[in-house]
Amino acid sequence: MTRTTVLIKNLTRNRLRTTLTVLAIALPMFVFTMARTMVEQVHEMLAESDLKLRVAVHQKLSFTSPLPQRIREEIEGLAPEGYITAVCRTSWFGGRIEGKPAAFASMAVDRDTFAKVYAEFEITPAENERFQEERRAAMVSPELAKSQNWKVGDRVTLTGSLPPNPKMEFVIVAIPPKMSRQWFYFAMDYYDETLRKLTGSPAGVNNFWVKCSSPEARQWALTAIDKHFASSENETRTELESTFFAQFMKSGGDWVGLTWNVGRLIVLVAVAVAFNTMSMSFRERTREIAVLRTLGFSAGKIVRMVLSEGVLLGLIGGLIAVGPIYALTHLTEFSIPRMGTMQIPNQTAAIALAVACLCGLLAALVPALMAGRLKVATALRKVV
Amino acid sequence: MAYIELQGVHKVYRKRNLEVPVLAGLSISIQAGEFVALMGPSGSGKTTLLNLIGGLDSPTRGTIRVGDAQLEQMPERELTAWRSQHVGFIFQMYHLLPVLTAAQNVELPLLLFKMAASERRERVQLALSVVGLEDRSDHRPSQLSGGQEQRVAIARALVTDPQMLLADEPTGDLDATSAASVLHLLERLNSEFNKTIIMVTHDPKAASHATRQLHLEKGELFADKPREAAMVEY
Ligand SMILES: Nc1ncnc2c1ncn2[C@@H]1O[C@H](COP(=O)(O)OP(=O)(O)OP(=O)(O)O)[C@@H](O)[C@H]1O
Ligand SMILES: [Mg+2]
Repeated sequence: MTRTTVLIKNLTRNRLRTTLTVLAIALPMFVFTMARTMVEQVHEMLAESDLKLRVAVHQKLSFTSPLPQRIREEIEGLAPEGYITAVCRTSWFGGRIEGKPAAFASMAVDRDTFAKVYAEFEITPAENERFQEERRAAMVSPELAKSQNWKVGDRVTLTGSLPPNPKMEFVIVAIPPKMSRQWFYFAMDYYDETLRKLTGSPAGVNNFWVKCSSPEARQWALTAIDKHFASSENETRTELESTFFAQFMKSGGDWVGLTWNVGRLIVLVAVAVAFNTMSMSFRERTREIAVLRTLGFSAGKIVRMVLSEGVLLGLIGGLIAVGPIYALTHLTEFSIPRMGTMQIPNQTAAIALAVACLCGLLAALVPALMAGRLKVATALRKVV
Repeated sequence: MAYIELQGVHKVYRKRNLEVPVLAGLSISIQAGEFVALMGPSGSGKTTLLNLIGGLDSPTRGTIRVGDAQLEQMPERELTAWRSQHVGFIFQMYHLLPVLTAAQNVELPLLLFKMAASERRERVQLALSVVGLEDRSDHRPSQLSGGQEQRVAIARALVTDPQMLLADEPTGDLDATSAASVLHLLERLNSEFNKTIIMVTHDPKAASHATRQLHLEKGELFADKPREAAMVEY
């Protein structure tokens, strides 16, 4: 037997309370882990997007109000020679498979410039050629193809979620390996033609993605475009891609910020609840601690023992919170709506474990100090 | 030289502004190998005296020497270490840890010593066999009778091989048969293993197992009767 044995045995004393304490730490730490993972993922995405030298041009007040298609030519004509690599228009389609909830994002994009503006997808010339030739061509990300069981050549029918909710048939012409998350792209002219047939009016554009050739060009784009359209009926707002995405994500409520605040706040709950149960547990053991002191265990040893018990409880709680979800996201393709594939980063897992241990330590701090200060003779008298 | 020497020991408890004098200038010598029964009415300070001799509490005034340790001069930390080597405590309510087996309870004080696991096991087995419970080593306290629990507690007090055993009403919670076996065990530890024992008891029959009886009343040791005289009196 070692002191560790005693420590572990002590946890079996009141299994219900031990379980509750562990859960009191595990549940908040689970939320913390998920929150941190999402926040990290968003930050990573935003950081990446700034490297792509793209800006988003959309309607001044909201990207949900569409702009006319011809603005693309105006932007192209505006730029000094060599500043702009290409402009790609995007229109939100929000397509869903009949009878299923939308689980992915779909957009109409310009056929001719898509591959250039989204260079990070590394669309091959062959893939791009098929995208030009097939009127109903669509490109989907590997993740989406996998989840829907689609292959190149498959016909897919989607219904748009914006009025007049057109029902359109597509042919998957490419699944570019580098295309990320759950995306479905198809040609703007096909969308435009469908809408004109149904309503008589053309497709509106949510965003003009302007790929710039250099940081200076991007700096120019950020001010010059808005200045140009300032007094027109189509006032624009030009933003960095990261700013746009941050805003886009906040448009459904600032859930990233909210999640993170909740994630941090909830750690306090863990400490409070664990503190409560641990205080109770050690108050009941006052006499046992007095006996240990009588046998010759020093105050320091007792303090360490109580703290270790706290840390051990925290660690178990942390492992329960992080272990399964870590394994799940590393061993399988685990995806959640809007975020796509999720994987708990090693660093986040380590931080969550450390925070869980710290919660246990904090919760045990007061009981430990009380146990260390115990007056042995007095405590032995107490009839508990 | 006496093994235990108390001189002019005062103990005054302070309860807010109230002073409760319990021991009033107590002096006494106890030789190594004595088995002392400490008697007296409730509240007379028997437990207090035992705690002072065992280094669990400090006197308000006076000196206490046990072996070559001058207890009143030792800081808490030294007293703790001293206890682990020189004193075995036995309580009325046994005070075993409920989550540990009998053997683990006995082993507990040995965790404070640098010792090979095999040696620890041997010592535990030896202590359990002295109290006649080697076949109960894997039982939890809840699976033992009161008398057996107290014998495990005695094994725990013995396992570090201290010179002195301090027992506070060790039979106070036991039926007659169990009490007899515990008293017999203490007697054996005294005669066979030469342990110095101080046992607090209310029971004259229990006290008769001792080689010497001390009576504590109103803060003073007023009688110090040899065993024969006690037998006559009760
Ligand atoms: N921590 C304390 N603070 C104040 N008074 C105390 C304290 N501990 C003990 N006393 C008092 O000191 C007196 C002696 O107590 P002690 O426990 O030594 O008596 P005892 O002889 O062991 O009694 P019993 O036979 O009932 O066990 C009692 O009046 C008790 O109330
Ligand atoms: Mg008492």
